[in-house]
Amino acid sequence: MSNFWTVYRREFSAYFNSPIAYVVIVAFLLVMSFVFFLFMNFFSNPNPSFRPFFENLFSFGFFCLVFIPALTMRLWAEEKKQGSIELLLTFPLNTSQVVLAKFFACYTVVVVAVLATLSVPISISYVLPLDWGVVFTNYVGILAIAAVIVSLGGFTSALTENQMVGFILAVIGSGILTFIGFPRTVDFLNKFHLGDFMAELGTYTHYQNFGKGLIDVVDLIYVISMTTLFLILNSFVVESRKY
Amino acid sequence: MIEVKNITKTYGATVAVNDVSFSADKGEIVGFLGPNGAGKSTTIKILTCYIVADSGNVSVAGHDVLEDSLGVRQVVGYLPETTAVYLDMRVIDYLNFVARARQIAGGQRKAAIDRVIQLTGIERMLKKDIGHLSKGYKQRVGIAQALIHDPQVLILDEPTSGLDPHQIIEIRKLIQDLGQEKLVLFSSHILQEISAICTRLMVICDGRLVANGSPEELVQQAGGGRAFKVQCQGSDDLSARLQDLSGVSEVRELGRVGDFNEIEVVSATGQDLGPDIFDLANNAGFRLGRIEEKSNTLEEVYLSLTAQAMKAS
Repeated sequence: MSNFWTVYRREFSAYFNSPIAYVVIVAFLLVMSFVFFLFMNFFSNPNPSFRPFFENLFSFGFFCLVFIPALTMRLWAEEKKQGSIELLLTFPLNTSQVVLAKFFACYTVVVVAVLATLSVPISISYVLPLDWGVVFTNYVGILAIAAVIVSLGGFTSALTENQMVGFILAVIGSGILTFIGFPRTVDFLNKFHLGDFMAELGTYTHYQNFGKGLIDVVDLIYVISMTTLFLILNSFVVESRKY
Repeated sequence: MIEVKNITKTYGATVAVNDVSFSADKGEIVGFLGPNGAGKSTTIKILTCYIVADSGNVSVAGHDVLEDSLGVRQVVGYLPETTAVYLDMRVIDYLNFVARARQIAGGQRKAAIDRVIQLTGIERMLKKDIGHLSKGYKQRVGIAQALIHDPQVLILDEPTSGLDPHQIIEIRKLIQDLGQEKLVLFSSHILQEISAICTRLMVICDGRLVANGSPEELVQQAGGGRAFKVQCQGSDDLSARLQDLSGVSEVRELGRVGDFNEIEVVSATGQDLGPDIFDLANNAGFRLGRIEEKSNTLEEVYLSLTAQAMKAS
């Protein structure tokens, strides 16, 4: 366990040793608030609610396709480029510990950024009665989906030593997972009787339940199994260097 | 301490390491020599468990690299070729990180860090970002991290590359000191460096180990002997007398240099002939100008060994 914390601490502080984390988090907060208050016409809406904050397609897409890939892209690609991976993996640490530590370090940064948006529901609660239960499930939902995308991004970063390639692969992977659950995609895929099945693999499909205020075991199982899958793939890629 | 038996490693159609076997023990300083791309780094990566050989066995301090890779990694200190330190960290933070990753207990961490800081002379750099250090200091930080857990086996891939002459001398001295009680294996393509500090030399070329022995043994194996240039005045039968010295295999007259005759004397056994030549000259009343060992002999051996290996493949 102490090995996990050693690598976790180093990875977490690496985000704040350079401007990446600051820039990405600030951009995230600006985009989220801007979209919610201006694009979604929050002020002129007769029935304003907090629900579209994460659930609107633009914000959800930005979160999964830009924000998280921008944070995960350096996880392994940078180590490979610098050569520091050779030392990290010849220290007496298990590969799985290193993979988990990197995953949780990046996930913590995402959690910090997401929790920073709490200022939005807190401020609207002054002007309109807010269902805090729904706010809570929205946050649980977005953080759950974030775990899937962070593990996906870690995996794609391990495939390359070029951060940009890692980023683009994560965008593609995350894009497929997001759009696969959209009604139009489902309708199209249903022509081949695949739509409903594929929709179950999509992040957006599962997020919508949280958006409604539900925390369903099925959605949690989805998140845990997808995250585990990508973490295993990540370890597998890291180990494959040996052969 | 290190036992390598018949390891082979291929990358696609390229054979990086081809049936290499050797062993090395505590107290040895083993120099790993070969042209670029000969397979030095690949062998080192196999020893440090970064990659796995396609076939063959490797054990380090009794731990098998496949079955007990963590055990191997605990006893080995490693400096990769690319230095491989985190450029975004301060030196002191990095050493702290390595000490933790090496599982040095909290109470001993500070002492361990202080020890390597002193050994590598990086006291003034502790608060600086590693990315802002010169190549030489980065290399020292790399060496410091390799030593932090006082490893039994130290593996250094080109430790002196990028250092200035003063630093090279310091690092060589450090390696010599460490070699007293540890096994140090280091690679280089600088022959003088290896012959200056190694107790044993291994030459690898095109993936094959083409020579393994002390510098003297290698010279002998290659049939080169050890050669001395002698300049002297005073007698015509000097060549014949030198020929009679025990251990001399060949004497060649090289011509005149100023007032002196220059003669090359080759030692068959690799022994140092200097004292014997001096005594001979002294007893027979010759005037000696100088006795000088031909320094390029090992270089010739190396060149011929690697050329042979390249021709063979």
